[in-house]
Amino acid sequence: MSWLFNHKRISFLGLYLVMLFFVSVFSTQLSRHSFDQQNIDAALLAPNSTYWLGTDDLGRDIFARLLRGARISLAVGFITAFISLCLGLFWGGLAGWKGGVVDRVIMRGVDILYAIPNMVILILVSVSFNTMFEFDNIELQGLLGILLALGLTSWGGLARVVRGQILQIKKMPYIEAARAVGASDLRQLRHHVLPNLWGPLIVMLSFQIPSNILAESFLSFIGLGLQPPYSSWGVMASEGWRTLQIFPHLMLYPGLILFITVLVLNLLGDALRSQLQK
Amino acid sequence: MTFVLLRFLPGGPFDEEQELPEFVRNQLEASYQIDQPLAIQYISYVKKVLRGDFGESIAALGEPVYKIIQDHLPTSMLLGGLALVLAFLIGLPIGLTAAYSNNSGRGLWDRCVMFFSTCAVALPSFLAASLLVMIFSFYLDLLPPALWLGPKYYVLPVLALSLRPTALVARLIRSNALEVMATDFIRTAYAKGLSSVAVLLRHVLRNSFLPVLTISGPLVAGILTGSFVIELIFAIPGIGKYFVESVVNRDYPMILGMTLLYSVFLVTANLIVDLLYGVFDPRVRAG
Repeated sequence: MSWLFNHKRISFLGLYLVMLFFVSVFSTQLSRHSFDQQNIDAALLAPNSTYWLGTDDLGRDIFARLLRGARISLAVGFITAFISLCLGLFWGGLAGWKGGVVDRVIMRGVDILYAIPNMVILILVSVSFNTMFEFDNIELQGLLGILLALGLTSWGGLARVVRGQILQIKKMPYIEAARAVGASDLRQLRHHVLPNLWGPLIVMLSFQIPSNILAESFLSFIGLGLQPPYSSWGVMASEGWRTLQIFPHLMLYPGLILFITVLVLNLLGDALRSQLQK
Repeated sequence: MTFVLLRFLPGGPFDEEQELPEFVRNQLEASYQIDQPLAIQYISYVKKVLRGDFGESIAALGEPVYKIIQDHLPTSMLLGGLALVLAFLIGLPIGLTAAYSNNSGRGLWDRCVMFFSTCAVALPSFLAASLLVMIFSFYLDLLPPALWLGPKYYVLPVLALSLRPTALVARLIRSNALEVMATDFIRTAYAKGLSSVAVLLRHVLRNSFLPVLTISGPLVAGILTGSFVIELIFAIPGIGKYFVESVVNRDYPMILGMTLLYSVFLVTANLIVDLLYGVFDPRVRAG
C-alpha cells in the first residue's frame, strides 16, 4: 500500500479530507456558538470577529452550522459507501461465483434497480422510513433515513463490477491451483479472490462517496432530507437561496464548501485510478 | 438484442409491487379503499392504470393525477430535452477538440477543458443555478431569474441543468477519442490524405460515440434528478416540482402515478438507446 502515501497529489488531497474529518469530529469545540442557537438581535450579520462567517436569518452562526454539516456529509459519504460495499460485494460476489440461475436472477434484480430513477427510489425509501420508524432524536432519524436510502440504491454498479471481476478471476490459473489442492470455496474467496478485487473496488467507492454526498445535499435541498433546525450543507443552501438576491453568502458558503469537498473527492478518485492502472 | 430490451421492461410493474406495502398504512389513514386487503388494492390499482386512470390527487382536492401530469409534463420535457440537446451540442465538439489538442502536442485547450469539466462535475446544481442567477439576473440584469414564460426564461434553467451532462459527455468523448486516435485505421485515414477535420468527424467521432450512447440512459436519469432542484429554484411549473410536493404532502396517488411515469420514461429511454446502438454500430445488429 506504499503507493497510497508516496504520491504527492494523493497525500495533498487526503490532507483536506483528514482536516474535514478532524473539523467534523471536534465541531462543537471549534466554534464558540452552537449550530442551532438562535439570536435574533444578531441576524444576517456579515462576517466579523464574533461570528467568523456571519449569521443567517435566525441569527445562527454560519461557521458552526458548516462544521455541523461537515459531520453529516462525511457520515453520509462514508457510511453509505460502506453499506453499498457490503451489499455489492455480497450480491455481486454471489452472482459471479455461483453463476447460472443465481447469477441471472441477481443481475436481473440489479437491472431493475437501474431502470428506476435513483432519485425516485431514494425519495420513496427515505420518506417511507420516516413514516415507519419514529426516533426521539430527529437529526438521527433524518440521517438514518438518508443513509438507508442511499445505501440501498447505490450498490447496483458495485455489484456489477464485483461480478465482472470475479468472472475474470475465476478463470485465473491460481484459482485452478487452489481448487486442485482442495481449498474450500470460502478459503478460495478469502485468500485468492478478495485480495485481487480491492483495486477496482476502491476506485468505484472513491467515486461513490462524492456522489452520495451530493445526493444528500439534493435531498436536503428539496426538503426531503434532514429537516431545518438541524444543519447540513444542503439544508443551509435551501435556507439560503430564498434570500439569494440580498444575502448571497448564505447560499454561497455551503455551496462552495460542498463543491470543494466533492471536487477533492473526485480528484482523489482520479488519482487513485491512474495509480492503479500503472 | 431482443433479450437486452426485454430485461429492462419488468421495471414498471415490479417497482409497484415493492412500493405499495409501505403505503398501505397511510393509504388507510387517507381513507382510500379502507377495508380492502393489499393484493386487491394492488390489482384494482393496476386495472385502473391500464385504463389510464391514475386516481385522484389527495392534496389538489380530487384533481385527477393524469390531468396534473398532462398539464405539467410538457414543461419538464422541454426543459430536460433542451438540456440534453445542449449537453450533446456543446459536449461533443469540446471533447473532440480537447482530444485533438492533446494528441497534436500543445494540449493547452485539453487542460482547460479537463479543468473546467472536472469542476463542472463537482458543482452542485443549486450552486450553479445560483451563480448563474446572480451573474445574469442580478448583476448584468440580462435574463429573468425565475418563472417559465417564454424563450428568454428558458436560458438560465437549461444552462444550469445541462452543465453537468455537458461536462460528462465532453470527458467521455475525450477519453474515447484518445483511444480511437491511437488505432491503426486512424493512421490509415491520415495516410490516405484526409484532412484532420474529416478524420475527426468521420472516423474518430463515429467510433468514440458508442460509449457516450451507453451513458445517455443514466444521463437522462441525471437530468431528471437535476430537474427536481432546478424546477424548485427557478419556480418552473414542471412535473419534478409536483413530485417533490406530492412526497412532502404524502399524496399517495400522485406519488404512485409519478413513480410509474418516471419508470416508464426511463425504460423507454433505455430502449431507445438500445435501438440506437444498431443505428450507430452495424456490428451490433447481428446479435
